[in-house]
Amino acid sequence: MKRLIILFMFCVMGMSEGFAQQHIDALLRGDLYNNKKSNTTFRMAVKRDPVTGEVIKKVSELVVRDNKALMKKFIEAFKAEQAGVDVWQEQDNGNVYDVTAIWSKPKRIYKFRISGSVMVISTQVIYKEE
Amino acid sequence: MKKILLACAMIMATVVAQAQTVVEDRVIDGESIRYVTERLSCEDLTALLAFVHVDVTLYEGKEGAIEISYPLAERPYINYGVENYEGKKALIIGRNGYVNIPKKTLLSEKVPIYVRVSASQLKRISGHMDTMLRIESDKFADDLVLQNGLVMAVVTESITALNSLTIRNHGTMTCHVKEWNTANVEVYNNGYLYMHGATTAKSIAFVSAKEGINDVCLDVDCDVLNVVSQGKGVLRYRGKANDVNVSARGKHCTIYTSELNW
Repeated sequence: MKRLIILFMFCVMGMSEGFAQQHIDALLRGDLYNNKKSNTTFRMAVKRDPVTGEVIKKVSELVVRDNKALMKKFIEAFKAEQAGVDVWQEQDNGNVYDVTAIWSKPKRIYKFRISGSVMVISTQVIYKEE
Repeated sequence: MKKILLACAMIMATVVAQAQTVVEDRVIDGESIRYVTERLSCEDLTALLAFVHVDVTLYEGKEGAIEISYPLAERPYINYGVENYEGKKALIIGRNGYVNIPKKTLLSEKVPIYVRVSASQLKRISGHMDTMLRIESDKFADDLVLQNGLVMAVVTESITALNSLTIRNHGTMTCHVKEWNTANVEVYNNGYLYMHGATTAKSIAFVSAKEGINDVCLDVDCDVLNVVSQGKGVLRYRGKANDVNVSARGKHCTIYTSELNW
């Protein structure tokens, strides 16, 4: 019975980490932005092998201006991720708040910067090393 | 006896229905994802509009054959079908609740919806998320429009639309196309556009908006070349052009026409 409970707890922890990462990616969906209502600009590029079409790398950038509600959602999503990342760097000098989060497999580098009323999130997901 | 016959008929109906639906496991980055494939047909298909991540292959087969494969877990949310669009038939692929009620999704550039279409009269292909467009059968209507709202990659040896070929890019578009076979090329770029190749079009019009970033190198043999750029990057035209008009208002755009024989 004890073993079952411990096994169940490991499963729940694993699932919660997976859901948290998907939560950041769910907030970074391109169809939610680039409209006047959200005051955002979203750009994305996908690098593919020109012959096979295999995805090599994805980069994206989201710029948010004067949207405190959305900034708060992203801050919460990043904080939720902190325990599960491989590298976490945080700097706050009062004017600019910077976070860099890196996962190893697959390699993801997510950067988050707030400066005044502007938030910039840039991501790199590397599926295949070149 | 009647009950037995009715039961047999129901079993046969189920078997036939299941024959149109195939379930298979695809391994993507070491993870097994169950995909379901469904088939439909539309003989006079003229447009393809995708509002989700798709990997589209245009192939030569039975006219109007359409095959759509998507993650089984996405089944409650996926919407697709042939609809009337501007008086013609369009295959539209979308996802419920995308805009107003965002839901967690498996779909991504690595886990797309796979679409295979055999249609020789397509006039419009429009992608609004990540679109991988593989053209194995270069048969289109006389006028073709490729439109990109976010990310699109086009891979093919050639695209042939006898009368006109229009590209409208509002995101990141990479065209690995060697030959653009048409009489008129019109490009409007408001994002990042990679376009290298050759065209025999007699009229070429290229407009790069302020947000446009260009990596364009075209071998041309045309009567008229009109280029208007407010964006950045490099526009290079080589070959032959009888009449060249260039207007460059952007500070960071380099336009090469020195390799043109006028």
